[in-house]
Amino acid sequence: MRTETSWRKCLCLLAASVLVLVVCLVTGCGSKEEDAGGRTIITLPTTGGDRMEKMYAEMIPAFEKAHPDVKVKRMDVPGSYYIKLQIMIAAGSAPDLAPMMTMRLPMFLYRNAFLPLNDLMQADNEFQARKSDIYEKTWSGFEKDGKLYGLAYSQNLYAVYYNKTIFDTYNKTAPEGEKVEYPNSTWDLDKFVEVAKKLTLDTDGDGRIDQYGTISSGTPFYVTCPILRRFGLELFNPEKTKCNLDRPEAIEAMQWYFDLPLKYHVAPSPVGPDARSVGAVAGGPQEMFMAGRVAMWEAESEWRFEFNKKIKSFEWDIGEPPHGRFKAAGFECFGMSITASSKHPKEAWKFIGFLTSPEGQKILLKHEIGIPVLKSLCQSPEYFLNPKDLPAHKEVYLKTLEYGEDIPSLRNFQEVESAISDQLDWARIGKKPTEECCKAAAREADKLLEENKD
Amino acid sequence: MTRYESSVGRVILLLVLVAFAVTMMIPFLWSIATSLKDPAAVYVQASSFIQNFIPRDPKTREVSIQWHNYVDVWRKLPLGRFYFVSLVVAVVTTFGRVFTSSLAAYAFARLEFPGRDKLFLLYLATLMIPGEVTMIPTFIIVGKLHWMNSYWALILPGMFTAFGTFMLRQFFLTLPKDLEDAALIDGCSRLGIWWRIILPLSVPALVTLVIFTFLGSWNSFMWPLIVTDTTDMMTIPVGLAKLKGDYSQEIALMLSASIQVLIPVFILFVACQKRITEGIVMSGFGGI
Repeated sequence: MRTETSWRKCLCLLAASVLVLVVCLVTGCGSKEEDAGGRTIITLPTTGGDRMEKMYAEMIPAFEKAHPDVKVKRMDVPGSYYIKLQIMIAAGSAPDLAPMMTMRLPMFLYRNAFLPLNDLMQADNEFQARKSDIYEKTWSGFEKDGKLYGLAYSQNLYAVYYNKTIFDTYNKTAPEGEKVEYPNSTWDLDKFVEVAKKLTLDTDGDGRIDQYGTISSGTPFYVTCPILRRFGLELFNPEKTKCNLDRPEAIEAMQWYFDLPLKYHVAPSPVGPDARSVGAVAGGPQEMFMAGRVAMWEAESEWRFEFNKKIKSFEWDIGEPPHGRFKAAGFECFGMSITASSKHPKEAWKFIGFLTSPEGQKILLKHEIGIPVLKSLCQSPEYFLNPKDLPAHKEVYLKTLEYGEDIPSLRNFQEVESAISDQLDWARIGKKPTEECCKAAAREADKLLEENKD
Repeated sequence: MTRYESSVGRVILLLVLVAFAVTMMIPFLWSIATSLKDPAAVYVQASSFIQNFIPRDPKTREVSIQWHNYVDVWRKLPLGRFYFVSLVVAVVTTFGRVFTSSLAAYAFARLEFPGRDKLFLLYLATLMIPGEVTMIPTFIIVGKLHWMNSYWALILPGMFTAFGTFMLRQFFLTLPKDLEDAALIDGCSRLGIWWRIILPLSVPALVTLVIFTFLGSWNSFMWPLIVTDTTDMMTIPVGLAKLKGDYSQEIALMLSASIQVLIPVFILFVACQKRITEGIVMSGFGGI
């Protein structure tokens, strides 16, 4: 009797569990692909904060109006975009489009995750007609073995941001022969240090430096590569199998950079008494610049939007970076790729084409997304060179475009960058000689560069 | 020890504890202060450390408390929706995990069946597998079931855990068997024993599991990020990430939102604080 009751209870429990499972499967199913009214749906992951949201809110309807046969389904990815993209690709559920930066491209190309765009571009007569208006430099970061795996839709160019108020305040009391001019194309590295020294001051008389001539941004590739290029050297050999940090020019270049805080004291030191000032303001160099405590900071053009919004207590502008033996500056592109598993590559290409069209580029400019890739818009006082928007001398960005270069793209660039930084940081904080650290960094990088050999 | 020495000792101990408490509170107080600042004032360095805790106008440096930040963030983001999704996910996950873990723990602690101990070891071994390893297969399963952007994707994978089972099993093993034997003699079923005897005696351990599960689910970022791509199904941590761009972040708004989302967690912790300590002591388990 008791056994019978137990079995009955077990069966009831099992039946209840199966029922719950069926209900879960039926009701838990997400919505199927929505009815697009006969249109082809292409999926686009979007990331990048408020400005990007507003941009896509205008861009997508504009695109769909121009291409009524296509509907764009947005996938909102507020953070960790590249991790999510890799997971989606690995799981076989990649989106059609993939926003991409050139430095991240190799890790996806290694997995054959993206489609070459050459055939799609060739077949697009409208694109071919206006191709010459796109800056040629924006193509190279997405090229591999003669094929193009993405197209840039905006640029990120570098300049020296300077605090005009600090310069003007200094010049008010400086004797005639000691006045400083704003950063410009005539400056070399010695001149940069000379001016930085004059603007490194204890402004409140408490015996501690609270205003610096410049600030260093650590040792990531986008900082070390332009510095090395000013001394005539690339970070890696052309085949990217050997790191050049052990060469005399590289050691000289890094020594100049590390001397800024350690020898000349024109930048906050990452350790010691100055570290307190670095850590006292939340975040990194941009926060110190926005706090009005740094006279000059070499950084990318994307920061101008944040500075426009947040800097109220002083005036600022941009100048060309100082030159060494050669002129050098950073350069980055934001682009769009099509995933290899996309079932709608032609429609996906239409969206990329629209992004790089005059209409699409004007929308990007309106929503403060990078610098356009079209020469006609960049050189127009009605659009990019509009004098109403800060910085006042935006043409400086176009000058640095002429000699700006992207960082080397590697499949494992994050590991290589970390390995190099881990060694160089010992010299940056003054604990080990620069030569020793550069050679150690080159050795560590060479081991990891083995993985980049095809 | 004299009465005087005892008092001095207690005063010194009190001072040390107050110093520790203040040190722990400083980041939280800084967050509250920054959440009340003008966005431009967040980056302006005051003349002294204490002055940084006072919201001031970035230009005039007069005291200027921006209470509207706490309202603005609701206009900028659908914070109410994020709250709702997070609450549903956290509450259902918590109850689900307590239910499944307690059932499994009771079976492993009290039921005799072939291979019980080996099965338990196998189950325990899953604790060694990092979440990153199982993320892709779980994502594939969720995709195949068309569960993307649904509550099931957010809730179901988190409802089953070896950690909860292990913790409760350890606790159940400390309960006297005599009570169960007496219940069995009186004709109570195993499910009845679990419900009427084991669970009421295990309140401290259950509350500990509730707290850990709720906190883990409330603060979870990566899994909700992976399985959702529409704003209306985002949880709070994922939703707040929308305030951060590649080159910009609304620090004051992020902090005002972060402080507001602490409220349910704070209430839960205050309500269950005593039970947490009991649970940790009795189960001999210090934490996740």
